[in-house]
Amino acid sequence: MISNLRLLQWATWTVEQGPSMLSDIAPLLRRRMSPLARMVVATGLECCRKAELSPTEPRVVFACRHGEMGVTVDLLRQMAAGETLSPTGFSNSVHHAAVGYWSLATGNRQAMRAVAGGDASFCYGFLDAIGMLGEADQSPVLLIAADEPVPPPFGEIATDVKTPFAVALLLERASMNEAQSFSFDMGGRAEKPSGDTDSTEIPAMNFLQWHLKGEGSLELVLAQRIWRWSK
Amino acid sequence: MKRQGFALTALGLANALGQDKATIWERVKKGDQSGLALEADYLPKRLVRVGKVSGQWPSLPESLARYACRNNALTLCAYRQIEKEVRNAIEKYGAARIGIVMGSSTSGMDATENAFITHSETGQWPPAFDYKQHEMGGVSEFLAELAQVAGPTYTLSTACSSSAKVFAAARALLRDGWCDAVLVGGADSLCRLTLQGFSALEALSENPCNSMSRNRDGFNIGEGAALFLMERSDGGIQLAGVGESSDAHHISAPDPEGQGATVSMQAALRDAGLAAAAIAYVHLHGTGTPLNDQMESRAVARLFAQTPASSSKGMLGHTLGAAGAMNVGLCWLALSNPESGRVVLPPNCWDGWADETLPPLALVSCGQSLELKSGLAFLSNSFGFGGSNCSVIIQRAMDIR
Repeated sequence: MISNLRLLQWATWTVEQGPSMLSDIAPLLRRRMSPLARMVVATGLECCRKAELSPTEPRVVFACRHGEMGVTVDLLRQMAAGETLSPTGFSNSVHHAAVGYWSLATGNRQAMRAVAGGDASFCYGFLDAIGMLGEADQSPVLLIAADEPVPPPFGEIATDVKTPFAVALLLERASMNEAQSFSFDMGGRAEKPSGDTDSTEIPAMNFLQWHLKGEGSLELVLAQRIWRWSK
Repeated sequence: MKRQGFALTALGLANALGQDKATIWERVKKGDQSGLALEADYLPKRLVRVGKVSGQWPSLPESLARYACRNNALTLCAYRQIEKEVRNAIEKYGAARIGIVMGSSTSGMDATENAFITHSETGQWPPAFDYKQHEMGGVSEFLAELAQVAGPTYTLSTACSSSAKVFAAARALLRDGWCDAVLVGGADSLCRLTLQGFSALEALSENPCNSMSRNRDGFNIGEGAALFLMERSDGGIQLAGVGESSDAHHISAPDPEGQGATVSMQAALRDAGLAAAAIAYVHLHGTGTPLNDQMESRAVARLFAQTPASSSKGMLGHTLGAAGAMNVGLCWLALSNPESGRVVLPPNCWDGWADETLPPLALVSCGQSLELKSGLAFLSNSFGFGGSNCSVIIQRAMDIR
């Protein structure tokens, strides 16, 4: 268990309110970015703005199961049609393209990672982020969990994400047991569930809602494992 | 207070030079470039030089058929070499205490490409295709099921720095008490998407990669897997430090001055508590593209102008998401296999024509070696798309001679 974690600030992307946050990204850069990258960068910027933190400061962990599937499917179509691939398209297809753009958009030169862990990608991103917080570096970690519905034809077999989302969480490890701190624990393999969950719930949103309103503990069972946050 | 040590206690690897450590190390020491060969399967209507893993591969157990793809076959190949050590670790610590952090940029993209074509033509997925072959997390899940371990299991995917960053993540799992051992490494596999993508970026050379030469004109894509067992221990080969940084410069080109690369190497030194003078050898990222080698020689010359340095890209090709762990793997093999009191270094395979516009580096020639000492430390660089940089330092423990 890791105790004394603090959520300094948060921001979310919603289909309704997200697009208004895009104006924070320089238009020239924005045009080159995929929809996923735009969502991630805009939500991260909004979180830093609310925290009054320079976006150059935090280290960043991007938790994402499916990556740039929209861009990838475009490339697969181009290849199937015998076309030369677009160099920008290929650059944009890498799993961590969104955090590459974060660095470009903000001038942030810190450590950045992109985490994938199936339907527990948010939880593994959280685990990676608190691991990063345990290093000597004292800067906070901006964890951004985001995914989009997987586009056709792969959307037939990867159905877990129903709506585009991005959740930015600015995390730090407090030095002692401060007010509003919480702990994180990871259980062993859960006996019960097998295979991936297929629900409309977004684990990162579950966490945020619990943190803002809930009492006691939040337990999620994902990737056949129990994940627990406690106040 | 004494620092907790983290040891890399076992290594398995597969690449263009072979499917076992002994064969690969013998061929690396000789500067063998014959693994880089022309292949017709990847670019439309032309040959391309790649570092392909050849020969018979072990096949996946029937029960894991849903994970069947080139990437996981390579992972299996590396795993078989450390299976005994993993079984011992399970006995010692319990399966739930063993975690997995893998790096990859392709996952099973070859399977995805073939499935996509079948689906386009018939409207049906081939029966053997499963989304777990495609998704980035799949390679780590596959390894967890293969090794029957039940600790935390995830993948890092930051292109060519993926399997360098895994060392920091794995160490944190041990440090924070989540795990007693971690299977850590990377796997990447040849596929048409990366070959055609890098071809579109004009990054590929028709000739074997010519790192640091004035005549360099790009790299060859390679494939492979490198897999370590990491445990809390003060002996053996230690993970001494990891440094990460971002360029904030361009989405697919590095900062020409190498500022991000310099910061990443400095961060690794700080993390290891070592001065630059303590590094005895630098494994370069050394892709042989005009830009990488320009920025990297500037960055390396700032800190390690006199330190022996080389790139293995002229032997293995660029193994992309596996390159970080592969490079650390070669450093581990060098440090683990002293010969008559000497540590042989991987040579820089190139045409010998230095680029006079760049600061000179002490590039390693074939057969060059160092005196064996305890505490000998090597640094390995990996730089990726999106300006994602990572440097890893490994070191012979102070008390082994």
